[in-house]
Amino acid sequence: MFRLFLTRTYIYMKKTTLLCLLQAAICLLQAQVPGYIGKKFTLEYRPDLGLNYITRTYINPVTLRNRVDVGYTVGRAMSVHAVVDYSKENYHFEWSEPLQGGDYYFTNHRVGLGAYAAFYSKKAFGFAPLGVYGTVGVYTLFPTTSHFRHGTLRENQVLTEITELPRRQARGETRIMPGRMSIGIGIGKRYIFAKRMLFDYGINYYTFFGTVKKDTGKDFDAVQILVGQVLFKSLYKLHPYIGIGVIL
Amino acid sequence: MKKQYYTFFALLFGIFSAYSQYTDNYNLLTCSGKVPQDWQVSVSQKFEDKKVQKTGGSRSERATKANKNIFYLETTFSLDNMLRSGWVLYNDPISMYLEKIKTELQKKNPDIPKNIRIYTLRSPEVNAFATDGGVIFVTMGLMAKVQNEAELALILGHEIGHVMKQHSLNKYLEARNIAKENQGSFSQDIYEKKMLKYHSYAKENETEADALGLNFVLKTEYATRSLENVYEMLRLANIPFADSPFPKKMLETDFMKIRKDIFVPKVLEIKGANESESDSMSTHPNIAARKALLKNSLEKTKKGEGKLFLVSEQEFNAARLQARFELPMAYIDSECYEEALYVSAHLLQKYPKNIYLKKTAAKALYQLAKRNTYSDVDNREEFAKTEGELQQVYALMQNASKKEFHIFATNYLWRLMQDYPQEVEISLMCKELMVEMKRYISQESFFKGFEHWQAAQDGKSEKEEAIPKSEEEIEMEKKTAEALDKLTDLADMKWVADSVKKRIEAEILKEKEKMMVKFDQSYLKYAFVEYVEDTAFINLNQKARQLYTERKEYLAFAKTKKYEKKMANYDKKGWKMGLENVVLLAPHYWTFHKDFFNPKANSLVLTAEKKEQSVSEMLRKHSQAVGINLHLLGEKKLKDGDTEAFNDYVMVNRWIKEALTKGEMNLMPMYHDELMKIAAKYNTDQFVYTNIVSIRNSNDILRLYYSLFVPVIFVPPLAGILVYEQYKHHYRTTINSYVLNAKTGDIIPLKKTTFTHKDTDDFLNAHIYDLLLQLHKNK
Repeated sequence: MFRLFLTRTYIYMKKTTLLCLLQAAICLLQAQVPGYIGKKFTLEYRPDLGLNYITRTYINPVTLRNRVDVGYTVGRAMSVHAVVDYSKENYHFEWSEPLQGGDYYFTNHRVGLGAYAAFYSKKAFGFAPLGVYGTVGVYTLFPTTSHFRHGTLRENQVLTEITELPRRQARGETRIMPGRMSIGIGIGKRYIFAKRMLFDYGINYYTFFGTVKKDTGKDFDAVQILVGQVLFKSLYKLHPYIGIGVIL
Repeated sequence: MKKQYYTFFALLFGIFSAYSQYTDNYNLLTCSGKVPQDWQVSVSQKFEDKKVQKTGGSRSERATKANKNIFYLETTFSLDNMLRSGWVLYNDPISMYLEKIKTELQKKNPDIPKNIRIYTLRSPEVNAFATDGGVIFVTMGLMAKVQNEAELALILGHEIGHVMKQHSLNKYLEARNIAKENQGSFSQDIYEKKMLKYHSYAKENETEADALGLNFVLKTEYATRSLENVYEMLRLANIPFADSPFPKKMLETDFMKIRKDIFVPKVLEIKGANESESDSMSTHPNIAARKALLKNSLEKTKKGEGKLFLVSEQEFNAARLQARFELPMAYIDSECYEEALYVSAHLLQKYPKNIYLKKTAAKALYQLAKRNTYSDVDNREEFAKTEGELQQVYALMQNASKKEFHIFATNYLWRLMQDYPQEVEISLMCKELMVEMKRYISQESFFKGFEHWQAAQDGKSEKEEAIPKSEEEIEMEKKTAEALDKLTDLADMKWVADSVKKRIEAEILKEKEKMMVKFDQSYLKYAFVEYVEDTAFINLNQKARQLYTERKEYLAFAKTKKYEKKMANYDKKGWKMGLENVVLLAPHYWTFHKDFFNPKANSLVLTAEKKEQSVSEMLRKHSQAVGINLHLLGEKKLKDGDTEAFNDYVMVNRWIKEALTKGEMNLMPMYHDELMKIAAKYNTDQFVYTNIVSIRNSNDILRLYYSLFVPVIFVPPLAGILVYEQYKHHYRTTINSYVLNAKTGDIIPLKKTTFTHKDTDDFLNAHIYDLLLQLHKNK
């Protein structure tokens, strides 16, 4: 699984790196870049909140996504950023299928990668990386269910309780197609305080391409599809965020 | 005995050297010596020292205390602005002489506070005034007109009286109290009653100050016989210090004589203001009342002869002469060019070789010619009411056409340039007027007069012809005719109201007057006849015409989209000036509250001062990071030895103000020589002017209600936004920055941006760094 994760990350990174390089090349052609008093790198811890509006499915109403954002100012009104994020989520299914039906409890771990460009409003402030900005970017997600905490299966109307599936099996069975590309747009505002500390807030909207594919040849196909759908629904919608960081 | 001889010769030498400086040249007065405390202490510090504690006492007492604080803040801020405006001089010979008179008064009047400071104000107006903190200003106009030291003592005594009795504070508090009466009523009667009450109170103050001032003088040995002249001087405040006929010949040559009907045959008699006119709506009693009070007081005291001069008559004469020499430039700075020309011409009659006066006359002519070219100044009213020989200058401006006046001015400057080829200011002004000449005379007709003149010399008669109109002139006339047609059509329309028709007809008359050729212009063709074989003149003329065409082309280009795009690109990517060395004036910082009556509006003055200081710090810090050699002039907190830098700041600030307000006129700096010295001193031609304006305003709750009223019904939590918006301040910050080239006069708008953001430190840091980066980067 880890190897697969790396492979897909590598493929994805190739795409995003190229995109970033292209953006940077365009921007570097521009005139002098003031940054913030000459400082152009930003490093931020920027957690966001995914609102879990399908409350029947989720255990937690919100999902906290921990995100680290590294930015570089490439123009007077533009910066490019790379993000890595991690989130964990518990959710619950009530599956009514006669053979495999039952209550499923999952804990899903997700690692995400992304890159975006931020464009700064001249009228609202003036210079990257400060002030009001709008973002456009590409993101991907590598979700894994690392723990199948508890499940009650109904088999021929006989309740069977499974307390723990083998970890490896659980991971494989609930895996959905990772590396799916999505696009995100957002708006936000960034301040500087205490000379070089950053404070950031805003909101992002994510949407993904295509639908969740079936991973055939496995026992829990239908569950996997459901997991996938819910997963994307929860992650690729409105995400308000706040961030704190430093300018380097 | 020997010592006495030495003293006598030293005095003689002093007097001789003092007067000899006026025969050939004159150096304008500047501040000197140690910077006085008034310039060293910040507004916030001065305010802290004055302000009263609001707590304690009854409600009305607390209100009075609050009003006092507002007054102290406002006056401290205004005074600080004035001190830094460049109009005020310290430790100059005139201020020092006035200080000596104050000391004479203090000797016999120990109750006069020791903290009274007297400074000279470079204003041509005849005036003196005091501020609550003990600072007294005496104008150059007053110094130039005053007759003796005793008169000055009375004037200073009057102002000291104001300071001692705290009249400005009392007037302010009284005005506040009067404003509270019948609050909410807007009837004309009540308004007039309030005004009458206020003016009556102000007059009481003036009478009290008059009495106090006289009392101070009476205790000294100053003579009282000429004190009435002080009021006479005030009555004739609008008349220059001398009334000699305007020397028209200075504008004429052997070939070109000014037509007679330009000047008036008899000027208006000098009458001055009516000394008994009603003073019910004036803060000062009328002159007759003040004279009567003085007369009564003097009769009662029966003081002996006394002396007109206690400090020194020579010193008085030297100070007055200096003030008179300062006046032409003070008039030019106040944009009173007619007066500047008149006063220069008058002084030139006494000091015919003085190059300073020749230059001030040239500068006045140059400014008038430029003003004529770039605007339609209607000075009929001034012409009609000006009394004395000064009216002839107004007549010249009123009756001479633009073309005529431009030729007179250019001719004068060309002749002056021949006499003083080394004077850069004169040659620059002459060249500039030659460039503008293309508007008035076409190339073919420039020397047409020579043919006529030669034909007349050879005995061949040739038909007299006026100078053909230039292309620009024809174009201008065409436009005027079109405007006239439109106005006539409008006036003919039935639906136009009679009152509007009258206004239109007046406009038509004005336009027609402009178009009318009321005179024979043929004499103008001889203006430059004598230079027909002067290669220098011909070359300059050709170059000037070429430059005019280039400028016109550039102006046409500036109206194109290509130019707009170019400027937008600079705005987007930033300028790359590539400067290593630059003089930057400490940014002017204003913080306003949009709501003038907001209680916090006043305190923003102190915020602005703090911000100004912090921006100066940022500039200093970031200039090192960027690698640019920055000379910061005009910082708020001056130190003892900053006089030279302050003088430089005053000069640069004066030029920048002039350049930014009259940029399109391609004006030569009026203090060009001084500016060049500063440029050489700092090793740069580039000067940067920056201002930052931060406007704060509360939200318009009504507007929000309109937009959120319906959504709030459906989504009640939105009401929270309303509450938030009500208490949130909205900000708008503007940063303007210009780079001005002292040599070429080019102005580059480096930054001209408005942001909907508070002027926080991160915001300012980012912009200041960017400003310096744009100045320094070259690729």
